[in-house]
Amino acid sequence: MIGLFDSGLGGLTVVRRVRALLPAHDLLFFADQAHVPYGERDEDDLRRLLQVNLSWLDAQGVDAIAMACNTTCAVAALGGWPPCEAVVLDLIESAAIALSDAEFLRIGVLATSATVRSGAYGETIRRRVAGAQVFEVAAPALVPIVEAGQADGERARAAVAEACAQLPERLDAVVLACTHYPLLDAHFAAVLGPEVARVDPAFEQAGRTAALVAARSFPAGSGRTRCVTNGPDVAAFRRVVTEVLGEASVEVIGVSAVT
Amino acid sequence: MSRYVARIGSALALALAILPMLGGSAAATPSRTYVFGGRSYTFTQLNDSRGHIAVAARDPGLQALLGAIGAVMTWQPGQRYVLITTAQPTIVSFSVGSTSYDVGPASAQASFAPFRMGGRVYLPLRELLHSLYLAPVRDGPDLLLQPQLGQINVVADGNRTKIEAHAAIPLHAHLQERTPTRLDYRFNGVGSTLAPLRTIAAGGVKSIRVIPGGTPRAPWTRVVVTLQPGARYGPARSHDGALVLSIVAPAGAQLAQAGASSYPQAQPAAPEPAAPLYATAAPYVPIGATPAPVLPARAQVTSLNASPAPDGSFTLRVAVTGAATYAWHRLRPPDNRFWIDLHNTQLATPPFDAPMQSVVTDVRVSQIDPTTVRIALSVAGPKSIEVVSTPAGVRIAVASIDEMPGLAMDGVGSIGGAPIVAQVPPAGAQTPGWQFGGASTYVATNPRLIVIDPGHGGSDRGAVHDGVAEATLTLKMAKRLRAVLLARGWEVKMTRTKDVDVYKPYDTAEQELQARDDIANQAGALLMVSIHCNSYYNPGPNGTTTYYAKPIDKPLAEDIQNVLGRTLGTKNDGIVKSHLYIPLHAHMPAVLVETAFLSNPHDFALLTDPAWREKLALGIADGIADYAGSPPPPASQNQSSQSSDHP
Repeated sequence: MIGLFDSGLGGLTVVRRVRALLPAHDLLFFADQAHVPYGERDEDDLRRLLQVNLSWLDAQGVDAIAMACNTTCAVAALGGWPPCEAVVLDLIESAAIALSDAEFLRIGVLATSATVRSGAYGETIRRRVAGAQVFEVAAPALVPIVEAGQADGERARAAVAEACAQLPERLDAVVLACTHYPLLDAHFAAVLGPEVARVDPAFEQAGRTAALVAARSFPAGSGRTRCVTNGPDVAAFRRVVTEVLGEASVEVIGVSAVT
Repeated sequence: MSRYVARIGSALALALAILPMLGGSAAATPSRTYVFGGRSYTFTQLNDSRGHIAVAARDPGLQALLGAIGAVMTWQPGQRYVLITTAQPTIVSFSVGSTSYDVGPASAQASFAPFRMGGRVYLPLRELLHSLYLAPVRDGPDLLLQPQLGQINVVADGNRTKIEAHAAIPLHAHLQERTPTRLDYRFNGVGSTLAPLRTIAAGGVKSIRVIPGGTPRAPWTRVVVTLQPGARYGPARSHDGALVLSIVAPAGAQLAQAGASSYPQAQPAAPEPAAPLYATAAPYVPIGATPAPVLPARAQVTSLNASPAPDGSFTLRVAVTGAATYAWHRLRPPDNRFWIDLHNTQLATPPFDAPMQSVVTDVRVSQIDPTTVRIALSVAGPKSIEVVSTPAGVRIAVASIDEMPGLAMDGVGSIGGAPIVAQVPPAGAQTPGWQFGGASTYVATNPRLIVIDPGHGGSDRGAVHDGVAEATLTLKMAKRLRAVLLARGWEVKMTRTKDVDVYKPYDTAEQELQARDDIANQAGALLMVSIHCNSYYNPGPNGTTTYYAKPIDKPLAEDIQNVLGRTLGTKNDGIVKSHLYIPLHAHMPAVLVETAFLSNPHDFALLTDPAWREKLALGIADGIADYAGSPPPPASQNQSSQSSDHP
C-alpha cells in the first residue's frame, strides 16, 4: 500500500498520477483538512504536522509515502525528515528531476508562502540543473479558492492571473509547486500562454513511486483507493474526490473526534 | 503597612512550596494522585491559576503514567509543540498558545491553550487524559484513571456507514439485544464520557446512544445504535485495535452491489464473512468473534539476560514460558532504535530501563498493554540485529559490525508454537543470510526429541589417521551423548547406531546427507546435532568449531560452542556460518560440531581418549541445556519408547 498526504484536496492531483501508473496497488490518501491551508503556518507547526501525518500513515502499514504536499517537503528540506518506517519520496526532488530532464533554464516557481520562504525549491533545482535561474513567487490566495470548491470560477481565474503577474517575463517553465495548483491548470494555461511549459511535479513523483514499487517488489493490492479527510465537510470532499479520481473503487472516509 | 502584606505573601508562597513535599491535601497544594492499573501516580507540577488544571509536560507523575500506558512524550524546553505517541500508535499533539489539539488525524478543542511558565510548558490536564482515553473517576479515597471508550467514529463510506469504537484497552463487545432497528452492544471494562446521544440521521443510522454504567473499578458502557427504517447491518468485527460495530446501509439500497463497488477488498486482518449483510431473522452471529487466532493462556516473560561479548557484540536472552508471537521493528539510521513486541505475554519481572556499556546502550522493558511486553534497545550505530526464537523464548543478537544495506527493518515470529498473527515482510524484501533455510521460526512436533547424527559410517570412513577412522569416533561420541541426554529426560533418535551408511553404500553425499536430515525432519525433532572430526593435510591446525547454516541454528551453535570452548581443553575456534548440507537442509535448529582435528597430535590424543569423549558428550548436552532448558513434560502417558534409532 502506498500512502500519500496533503493539507487538502491538492494531493488528489498526485493520487491520480500514482493511480494511473500503479493500477493494481492500494493507495491511502490523507487530506489534513483540519489544518488547511498549510502555507500560512510557521515552520515549527508544519514540522509537527509532517511528523504527525507521516506517523499516522506509517501506522496504517504503508510501504512507501509519496509526498503530495510541497509545503511540508520544503520544511523537511530545511530541518530534515522526521523518523518514518516507510520510504518517503520527496516531491521537490521529483520536481527538480523533471526540470533537469527537460533542460529548462529560466524557471518560475509558484508555491505557498511557506514553501517560497524556505527557498527549498530554488536550492534543490539549482543543485540539479546547472545554470538554472529560479524565480520563486508566493501565491497564497490559490489554496483557499480550491478548498472552497471554486476552482472553475472567475475568482480563480483572476487569482491565477494576479499570481502569474508577479513572475518575470521570458520564462521557459513554471512549476506548479503546490499540489492544489494543477486543479487550476486551465487558468494557468490561459494566462501563461503556449510558450511557457507548465510543470506538474506529480508526474515525476508518480514515476519515482512506480520505480520504487518495482525495485522493492512492494506487494500489489486490489487497486483500492481510500481517501481520508479530517475536515468538517465529508460530502464536499467526496464531490472533489469523485471529480478528480472518477468513481471506481474509491472509498471516502471522514474522521472526526466525537467528544 | 505594605511591607507587612508583602511578608505574609512570601510566607504563603513558601508554605505552598513545601506542602507538596509533605504530601499536603489538594485544596492547599497543586498535587494530585491518580490510581491506574493498581498503581499510584502523583502529579506534582500542577497549575490552576487559570481556573483549569494544567500539568507540566515534564511532571514526573505524568511521565510515569505515560510509561505505564506505553506512551512516549517528545518535548524539549523552548519548544512550542508537545507530542505524545501512544502505544497504538497515535500521536497526540498540543501547541503552546493554541486551544486546538490533535489526536491522530482528528482535531479537537481544549478549554484553554497550553502555556509557558517558569521554563515549563503546561498542558490542559483534562484534555490530556481525555486524549489518552483515561477519565478521572472518584472511588472512595482514590482517584482512579478509568479506561474509556474514548472515541466513536462514524465513517462515511459510499452509501454505507461504519461505526468504529476506540478505547484505551482492547475492546470486546457483547451484543445484548437486536431488533430490526436497534443494536444494543455492551463493552465491559470501559467507562465513557462521550455525549449520551448523538443524532446521525444519515447512511442508515438514526442515532447513537452511549450509556455508561457499572462501578468505578468495573465499568461498562452500552452503545445503542438506532437504525433508520429498513436499514440493514452486518456483524461487528475488530480491526486495528478498534471495534467496527456494524455496517449499515440506508433503506432500499442494493447491498450486494454497494459492497462490490465501494468496498472491493476486506481488510487483511479481518476478512469479511462470506455473507456480510443480513436483514432481521439471520442466525445469531457472536460479536467480537474475530478471525484472529485466540491464543491459549498468557505466556510469561520470566527473565531477561543481557550479555555483552568481548568482541563487542551483544546478546539478550528473553525467557518466555508458553505460547506467544512477536513482531520486531527497527528505525532507519541515524535513529538506531529497535523494539520487539511480545504478544500474548505478561511481564513477570519488574519493568526496567537499564543503561549498558556496550553496542547496546540501553535496554527498556515494559508491559505496554495488558497483552504485550515491549523490549526496546538503543543501539550505537546501524548494527546487524538478529531475532531468533529458541525453545526457551527469544534471542536478540546485536552484532558489533555495521549492517549491510538492505537488511530487514522488521520481522515476526512465534514462541512455543503460537500461530503467527502478523504478516511477514513482503516477498522480495530480501534479507542477506536468509536466502537459504527459510523461516525464522520452527515449531517442533516433538519438542522432547533430539536427533544425533554421527558423521560418516559404512562405506564412508571419513578422515582416517593412524588407522583410526572418523566414522568410528563419531559413533562413539554420539552414543555417549545419547546416554547423557537420555539420563536428562530427553528422547533421542540417532541417524545410525552402527557403522553403516544411512542411505546405502557408495551413495552420493547428497543422498546420504539428505537421508540423515529426513530422519530429523520427519520426526519433527526439537534440534539436531551432527558430530564430526576435523582433519587437515598437515598436523598444524587444531581446535573445536561448531558450524551452523540458518539463522535459527545460531543460538544453538553459540550455546554448544560456549561450553565446549570452556571444558574441552582444545583451541576454541568459535562458531562458523557455512552452507553445510546437514544444518542447511534440516528444518529445525541444527549444528555440526567439528570436535577436534584427527590430523593434529594433541587433538588426536584427546579424540582417542574415552574420558575426553565423555567430556565432549557432557559439553554438548550442557550446551543443549543452556539452549533449550529441560525437556518439556510428555504430551501423553502413552508416549512411545524413549529412544528409537535407525540402523
